[in-house]
Amino acid sequence: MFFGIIIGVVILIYVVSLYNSLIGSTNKTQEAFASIEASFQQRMDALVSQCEAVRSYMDHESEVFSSVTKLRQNIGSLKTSEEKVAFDQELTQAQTLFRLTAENYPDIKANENVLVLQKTVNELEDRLYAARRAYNAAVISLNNSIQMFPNNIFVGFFGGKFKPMETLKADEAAKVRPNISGMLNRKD
Amino acid sequence: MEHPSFISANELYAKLTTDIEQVNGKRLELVAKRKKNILKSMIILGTIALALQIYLYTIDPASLGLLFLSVPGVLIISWLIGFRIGGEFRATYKTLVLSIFQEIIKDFNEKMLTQSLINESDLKNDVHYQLANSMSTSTFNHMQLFDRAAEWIHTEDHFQGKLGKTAFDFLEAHAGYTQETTNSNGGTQRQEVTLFRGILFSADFNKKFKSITTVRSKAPVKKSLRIIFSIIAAFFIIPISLSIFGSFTEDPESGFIFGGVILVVILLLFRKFFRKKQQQVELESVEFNKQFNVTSDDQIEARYILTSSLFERLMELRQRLGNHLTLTFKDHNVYLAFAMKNSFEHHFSKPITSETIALEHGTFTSILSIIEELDLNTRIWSKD
Repeated sequence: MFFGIIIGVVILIYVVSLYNSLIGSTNKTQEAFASIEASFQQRMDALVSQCEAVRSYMDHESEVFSSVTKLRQNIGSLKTSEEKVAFDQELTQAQTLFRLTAENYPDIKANENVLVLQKTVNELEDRLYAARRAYNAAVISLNNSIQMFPNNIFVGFFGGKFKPMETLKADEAAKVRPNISGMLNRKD
Repeated sequence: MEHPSFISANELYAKLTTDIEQVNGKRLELVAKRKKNILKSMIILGTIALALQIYLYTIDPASLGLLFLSVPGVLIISWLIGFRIGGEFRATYKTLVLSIFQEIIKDFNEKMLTQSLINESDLKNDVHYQLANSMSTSTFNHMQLFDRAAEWIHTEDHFQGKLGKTAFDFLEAHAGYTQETTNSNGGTQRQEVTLFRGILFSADFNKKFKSITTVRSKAPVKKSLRIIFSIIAAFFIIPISLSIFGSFTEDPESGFIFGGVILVVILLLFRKFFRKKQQQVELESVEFNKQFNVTSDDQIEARYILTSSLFERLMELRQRLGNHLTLTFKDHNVYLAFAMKNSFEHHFSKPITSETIALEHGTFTSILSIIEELDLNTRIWSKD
């Protein structure tokens, strides 16, 4: 009897500790994702400012500006995490498109404002990359907690509250060369 | 674009010929002065000792042996005279060391300007030097390079300057704390414990950040020791549990289980209450995680600072500077501590040759290379 109570207490302590640790890990993934979201507006603002700064040089590159305008309109309607991830990739593509288009204009490359804005964008991109890495690290840590033995046995007790999550495949997307001409020919 | 290389030791020697000749001239003067002073003191002290001996001999002929006892006294005084002259030479030698430092900085900055890697406005060839005690313990502790705070610090050879776009400074430091122990008689003994002895280097980091991130080299020996201790501890837990908790129940087996539960609870509470505020940062590189322990109060900024290219650079740096490398990223700066023998010293009995210059050149370039190795002059971010 005494032996059974002791075993029960040990298991209870373990399960409570596991539950709290999984809640902590889930919150960390949410916190990391929130920092990715927070960067959307900053990157959008930087991109819009860049467009404003160079509008006089490349006014006829209407596709670049319209893609940016469309993204700016969409930013408020993002709800699911899938939509947010897709938006993040579109924003990255728009920035790449802008940068590649701007490279054809020597006057732009020499423009002090554009250089400053470009540095801001570089910094924001680096911070975003760091946020993505932090999110992936948090997801891996959560997945390890869920899938490793003996946690995998006890996780079932929590009624499917904790499930392994997908890491962001941003690196894979970055390996794909952006379809610049496709983006330029896109109709809004 | 690839950054320029440092001036070579031979070029440096050629540039500093006049300074070297002056210091060597001063050295010869001091050597001659030392010889003269020693001779003078030996004659004076010897005469005094001899006169005293003659006087004592007239009182007591048995005191003749005292003359031999005065010989070590004369030699000690002569050595002290030599030591004083050594101090005079040290100050002269440091001016040469400063010229070496200045030439290396100037040459590098001018190459950067020629290659348009910096603007005229960035060019700053001024250097500063302070011989001793330029850092307080509070400044040292502010860097948060070590787990515990230092209570005392001795510093020397503090150099400051700007290499390309990066402002930096470095110095030799010996820091530690005082430990009090009680001996078997109940008395208190104070012992000075070294926390760090080597080079402290700080530079303006090329990115802005608000958090504090620390990167410490892991000692492989300590890890293996930890495993051995864990195994030994596991063997001891069973008999200790039985002896402590066995008496709670009639059955020793139940007592052992009861003891085990108490230990688990204690460990969980310990983990909860003594967890460090700074969180461990697990990075993507397995090799980097093996070599370094990273803690930070901001997981994202830690990754903003520690990019995959910086992993490689830090691993290379550790290979070059040794296993005791510690870095802190704080206040937009990077602080480094690494072990290095006492440098920038030269004994006045030896002439200054091209080898001396090569040695100092090697020390300086080894330290200044950190800026290039960490790529601190690349500033594509908003921090210029």
